[in-house]
Amino acid sequence: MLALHVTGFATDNPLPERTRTKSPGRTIRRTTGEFAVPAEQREGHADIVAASAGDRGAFERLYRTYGQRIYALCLRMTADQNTAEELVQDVFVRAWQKLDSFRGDAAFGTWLHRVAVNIVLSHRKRDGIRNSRTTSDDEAVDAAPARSVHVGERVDLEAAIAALPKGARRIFVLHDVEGYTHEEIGELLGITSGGSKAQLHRARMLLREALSK
Amino acid sequence: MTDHNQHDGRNDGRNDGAGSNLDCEVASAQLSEYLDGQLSPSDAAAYTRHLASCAVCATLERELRAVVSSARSLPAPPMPRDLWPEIAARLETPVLSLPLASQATADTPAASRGQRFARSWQFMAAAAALLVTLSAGVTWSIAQRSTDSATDPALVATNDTEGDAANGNATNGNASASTADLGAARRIDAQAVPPVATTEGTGAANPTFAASSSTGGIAGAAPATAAPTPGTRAAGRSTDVATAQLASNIDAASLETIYGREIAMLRTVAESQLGLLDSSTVNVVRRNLDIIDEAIRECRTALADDPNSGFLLDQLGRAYDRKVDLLRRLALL
Repeated sequence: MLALHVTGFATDNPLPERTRTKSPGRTIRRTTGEFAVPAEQREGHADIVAASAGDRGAFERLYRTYGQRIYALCLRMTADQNTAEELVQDVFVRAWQKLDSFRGDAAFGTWLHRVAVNIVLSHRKRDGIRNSRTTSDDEAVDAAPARSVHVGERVDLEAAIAALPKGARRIFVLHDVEGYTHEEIGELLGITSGGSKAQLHRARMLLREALSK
Repeated sequence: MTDHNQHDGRNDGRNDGAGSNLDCEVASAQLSEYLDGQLSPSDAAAYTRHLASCAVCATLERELRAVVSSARSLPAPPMPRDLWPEIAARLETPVLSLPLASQATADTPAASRGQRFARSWQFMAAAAALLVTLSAGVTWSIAQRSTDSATDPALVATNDTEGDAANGNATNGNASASTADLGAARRIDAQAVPPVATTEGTGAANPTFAASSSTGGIAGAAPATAAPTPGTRAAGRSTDVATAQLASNIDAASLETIYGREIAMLRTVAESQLGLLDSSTVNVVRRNLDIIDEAIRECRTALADDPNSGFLLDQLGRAYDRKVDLLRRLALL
């Protein structure tokens, strides 16, 4: 039996109800990329409008509201604190530049999340080119974990995610943590939804294995 | 712990007595799809029957379900420090303050932002071309200097700046040039565009050379987030004017002239870098360059038939952008 080292790691609870049926035989995530922003913080419309008009104070409030979630995304996708901090800055600078393109037809958090995902993935591509090393998704699955997990080490889920191979980690984070569908992931990463499913399953199995040690 | 591998295939092909012919290996491979509700109703039913009859697979299913459930409820890790001061510093530098000369008196934030984003394709193409010109010059000089001095903190800062530029921000025509990139460009001063610089240009014959040489050992090596000084503001003004004037005259020939010089310069550095890469990577790079060159050729051919097409001119600019971007990345490897 798994040794549970994660708070709230209840093995017999059903999965959260996060899907809805869009059409027969197909389910999609309802909460793709949305943030669970507390209700009292959701009233940011005035800040969005003000920030769009150049109000940096308003934009700072948006950063205070969404910064932590953006940081979480960046950290989990890169498994590197320094890189994550740099990316958070990039995300908010880019958001500031592109606020005018936010038309309000989606939640601001969702829009910002998309900006963040694009920047993180763009960074990864750039990083890969700089290292003269391109890794296909299949190769990424078989690659050695980014950080070794020793037998007997008590690891929590965050550490286990960080230890996943890069390709598997980003898909796990996008799908299981952030709620993207395989189709969306396929579009973002330029892979098939089947490839995304395979990587996700691999990631889950590796996590299960890591958590059971 | 459940070691599912130890029993993989144990139920191969056998009916488990509950109407399921699912073997454990297949069950393991399909587990995520089962958990995500992506199996067809009949397959899901067969899977459920298999779980009822196979304790090992049932345990595996519980464990994987727990992983998924936990991932979905992970709390966001706290930020180790407040990043706002650094973000705010980067916002201090105007994003792409390139108003037309006749509109340069914008004063309210709303007005300036509105104008900033209300550019025509011509204006955007000109801005992109100018930024490429300036940043490519810096890239060239960085690459050149890197062969002389291996470690220079200031160079590292500039290198990062160019890394941002290499991301295509400055050249994708959507006004998303990184502030750091523009900061570096502005520090180069108006000499970079002698034909149109009206306030501080000194008439250097070759914009590219001026851009790289005026760095005086990379003038742009100052911290990219530094607040603009009066000097940089003045340089920015002349750059604005330069860009505005360039905008009114941009055409295919101008684009080719501007990009051509930078591409030639970057290619020299990039070619030397290619010698350091493995052959398969070199092949990929060369193939990509061929593809981009083909796109450029097609755009030029089409423009010959329709020289006033804004769309074609934009496409030509984008193709050049990609080429510069690729060469710059190579140069900075």
